[in-house]
Amino acid sequence: MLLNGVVAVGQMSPVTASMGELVRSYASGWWAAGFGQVSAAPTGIAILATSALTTFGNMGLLHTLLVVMLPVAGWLGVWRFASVLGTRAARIAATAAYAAVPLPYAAISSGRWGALLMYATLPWMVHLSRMLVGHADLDEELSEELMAVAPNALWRKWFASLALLMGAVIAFEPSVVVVVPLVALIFTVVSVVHGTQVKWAIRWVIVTAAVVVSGVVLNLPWAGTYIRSGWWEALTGAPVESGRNIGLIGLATFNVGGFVLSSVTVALYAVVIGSVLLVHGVRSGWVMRGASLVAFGLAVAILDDSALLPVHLPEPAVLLVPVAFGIAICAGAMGAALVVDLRRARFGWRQPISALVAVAFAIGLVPVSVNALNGSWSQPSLALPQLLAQLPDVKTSGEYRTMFIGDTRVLPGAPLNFGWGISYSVVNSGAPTMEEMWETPPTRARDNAVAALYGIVRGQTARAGRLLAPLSVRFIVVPIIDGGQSTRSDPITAPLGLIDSLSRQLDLRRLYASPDLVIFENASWVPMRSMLTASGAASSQLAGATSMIATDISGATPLPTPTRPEGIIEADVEPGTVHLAVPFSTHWKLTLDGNKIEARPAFGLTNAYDITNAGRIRLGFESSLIHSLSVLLQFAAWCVVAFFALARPKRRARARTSISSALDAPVMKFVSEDSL
Amino acid sequence: MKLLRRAVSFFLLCAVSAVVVIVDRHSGEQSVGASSAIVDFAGFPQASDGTRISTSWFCPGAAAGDGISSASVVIVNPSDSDLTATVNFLSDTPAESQSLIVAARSRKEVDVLRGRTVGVVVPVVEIIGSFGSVEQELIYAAGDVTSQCVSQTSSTWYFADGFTAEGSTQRLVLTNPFPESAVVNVSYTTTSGRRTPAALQGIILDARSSRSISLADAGAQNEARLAVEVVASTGQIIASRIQHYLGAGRLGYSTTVGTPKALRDWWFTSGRTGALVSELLMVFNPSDSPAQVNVSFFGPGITNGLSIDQTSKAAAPSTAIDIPAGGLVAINTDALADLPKGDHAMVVSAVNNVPVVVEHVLSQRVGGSSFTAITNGIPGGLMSQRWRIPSGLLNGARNALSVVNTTGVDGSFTVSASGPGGDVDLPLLVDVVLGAASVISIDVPPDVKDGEVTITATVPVVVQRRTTRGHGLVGFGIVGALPIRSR
Repeated sequence: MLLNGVVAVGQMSPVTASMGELVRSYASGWWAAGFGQVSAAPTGIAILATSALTTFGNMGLLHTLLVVMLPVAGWLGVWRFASVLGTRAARIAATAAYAAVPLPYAAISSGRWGALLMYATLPWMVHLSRMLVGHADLDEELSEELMAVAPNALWRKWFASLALLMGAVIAFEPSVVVVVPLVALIFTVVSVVHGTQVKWAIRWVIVTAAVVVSGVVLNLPWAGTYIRSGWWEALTGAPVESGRNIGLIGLATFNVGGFVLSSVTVALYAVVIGSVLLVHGVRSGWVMRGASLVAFGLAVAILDDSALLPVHLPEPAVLLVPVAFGIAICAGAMGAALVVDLRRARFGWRQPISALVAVAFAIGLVPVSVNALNGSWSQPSLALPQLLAQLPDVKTSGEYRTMFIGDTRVLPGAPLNFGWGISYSVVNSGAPTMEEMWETPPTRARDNAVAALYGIVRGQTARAGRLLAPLSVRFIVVPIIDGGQSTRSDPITAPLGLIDSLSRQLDLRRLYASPDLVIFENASWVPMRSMLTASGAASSQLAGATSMIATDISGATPLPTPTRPEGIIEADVEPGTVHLAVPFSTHWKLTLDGNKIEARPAFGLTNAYDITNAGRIRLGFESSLIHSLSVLLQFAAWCVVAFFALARPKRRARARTSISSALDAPVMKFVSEDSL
Repeated sequence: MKLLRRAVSFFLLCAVSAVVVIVDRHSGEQSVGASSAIVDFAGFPQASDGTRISTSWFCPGAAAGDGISSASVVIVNPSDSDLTATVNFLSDTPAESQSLIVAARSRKEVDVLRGRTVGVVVPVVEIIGSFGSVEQELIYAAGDVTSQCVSQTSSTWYFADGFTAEGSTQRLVLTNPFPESAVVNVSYTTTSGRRTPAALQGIILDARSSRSISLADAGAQNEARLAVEVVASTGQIIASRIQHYLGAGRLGYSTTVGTPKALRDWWFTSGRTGALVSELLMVFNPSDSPAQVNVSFFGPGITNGLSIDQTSKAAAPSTAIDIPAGGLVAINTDALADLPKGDHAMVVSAVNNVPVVVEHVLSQRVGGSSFTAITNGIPGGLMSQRWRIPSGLLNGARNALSVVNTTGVDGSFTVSASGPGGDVDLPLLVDVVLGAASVISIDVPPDVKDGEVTITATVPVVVQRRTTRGHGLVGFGIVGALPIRSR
């Protein structure tokens, strides 16, 4: 993978913009994903741009590293976390177990980048949280778990680190605000049951809540776009209404993508059972926390898998990260127990069982070795974006959008739930880029697209193509096999009747049909920046279905294509109507020979500019001052938090206060207090 | 205490694990997807009362070279607000279109031929919104014709009846309203068997165009029995028939959209027997299996007034009639049952589950002249309690409307007409009693306005109407009403 790069499967779309372009897009206040809108762009775009500094602006390398290095980050996180268990054996066992679960490799195979990010960061977040809560590192001398509060400076540093991490993860995978509190809740309950004082246990909830809020604040103003109806689906992604039906075995073996011998990894659960039975004493608390993560994580995943919950949850690859982490905790505790407890115990039933667990654990490690051999982690050789390469280049044919309709699991970009088991996503040009991975808030343009979808899915019109035409939707694609979650050997079929109903649309021509995907071309489309025909211009004066369905507006002349969606174009035009297929906004300014032309709504949706004289036009997006200020404010907030996270506490202050502070804690330490 | 806590924790873990195992046995139901967009019988004439963004109406088309005086589509707006419609004219030349507004509670006629003197023009009407319906009307010296339009394309079309005897002409009109070419294969069946002329195979139908094919030119000359099967191997189309009867017992002009699907039950409400009447049921079996059908009759002297436990020879289903695979059989109702002279309704049912296509051909001599009325059957699946007649009924017309109660329960119906003042129940046509399995033919009151007519019944019924031929010609045409289906 390092040599050939990452296949753009699922969420692993390439980053096509340069570092500078990403920064300019972020600062512009124009969010080009979907049908575009005047809104703060996702913080993730700015983080991507900043991350490109590490690769000296090489976005391809960044893309590869963002996939390849995330599992490694997860392993390191577990290594650091396992310090709480007090022995090197625990660290080794926990890290080995975390590395042995198929989840990250299956996520790479099926393109679930969000899950990979969660896999990489959850151990770090739990590690920092447990130190903030007060779970001190265990020691052989302790008879029970020791709780303590770290010195203020250290606590502040950890909190800032965690907030920074949470902010970064929210920026890419918002469902973290569901998963991490769920983990904290499980830890709280288990801690109470296990005998931890409530005042300490409750700190899991308090710390997590504070961190989540901090992370959300760091993502303002973009995070503000989630304040709307449908926010839950925006957080957790479009659901599979009938349930994914992966089943217990599939979930338990992390079968969310291609992984050879994944069923063998069920042997890893031996450490969970073994640790519950064998580990006692000071580490039993963490065993119960780890085992509970496994049990509750699987329970939640299976309930969601069968669509039995009142609300749907994030995809299983994300939900299973706590399960993987729970296995790692149990493995760590088991490792520590083998080295410490059993060494001291007399021969009895514990030793043979421990040996059996160790053998099972060793067997569970085999599949990852086998899968590592060819280095591609079962990534498909052919994925959906490669099949979409046949779509025309926007430079030659005019800018267009592509709408994907089908099962949410195979849709590229940011799928939105439509209902009846159907989701859709919209991308600029043919194949999605990384910038289009965030769900966009609703606009009137999107509402119009939804109306067209009603026409298709519910049979309410045969002219859905004309409803989509002013939005420049040229292609409608029904993906069936994306190479990630849907493969030739295990395909996810297109929703019932969808291709038939699309075939009955009077403005759609079937361009390509294969078992992998079906592509329809909208014969009525107009380019995103275009000069409308006379009938199109007349029709654009009206609004609603009447303006779009009654007239065929096809035949518009494309205007030049800018390098970036918010970029400026210049062109010589004749009198007529310039149409810009974005939700109506006066931020898009058009000048004719230097004179401003007022924008008017076209079709009740988009931007139109009536040109009365021939001349040279200049069309571009103008940022608002408020947005620019908010971007500066956000930048400042990240800098402040990063300062607290990275600044080392003063030695003198630390020396005075690092040993403290629970009433019944004669000795305590945080292994990570010196570095983090 | 420690042990207790450990036991509680262990118990909780076991309980959760048990839940996981139990839940694993449950699997979700499959989502409906877009299947609701695929409506049964969608290719048959019908209206929907659901919310719609727009409705497309595909009409049979008009042949400019046949000497018709005028051809128009009638767009009816029974709603309280103005309606926007676009008429697309498909022919062998690039498609043209015309947008128009139909005022509330009114109708508008749009010329179809637009000055053309040759070729076939097929109107496709796009109505924005949930309301409005469309029919096609031809004014012709050989008899005016009202034809129904349909709202959905199909890849298969059937015509159980065809006629090229004694100089009669039959055109097949193939229309492709889509922006991509369609490939069409046509075959026909005569008394000599099924034929698939090479010239009618792989016909490329250009995007947004229509094309007319003369059956006589395709080798089906001088045929009194002629069933046609149209299959689009690529794309979906509309197939219609333009028929001019000039002899061999038939006289008149007819245009109709074909039947998109073979089915098991076909209803006809405007049958007639008499000394000078010839009534045929043309049954075409397009399948590869032999079919068997029987015919049941309804009407005065047959089922009207008959209580449910009474039996009547005429009311009993006929003996089963064999329809060979791919074959065409003409059933003469006179030969089938001892029916009282007069009007009746009938249902043709496939008794062995092999679907068929049935058309009704009624020829009658009146005075020194004669006429032929031909109509497609109404599928049993389209029985409805509400029916709509877009172009309305002619003032004072006799026996203009035939309504059959398809159930064994007594019912009633009301006829209302839409006018400038809204929907008004027609005098003497309110809560008209309709006995179980009975047929009633009603006369139109003299003061009915020229608007859409709605029939609302308390039981599922089937409705057909008789239209005048104009120009002082004897006889009538038979056209179905539009069943209103809930979506």
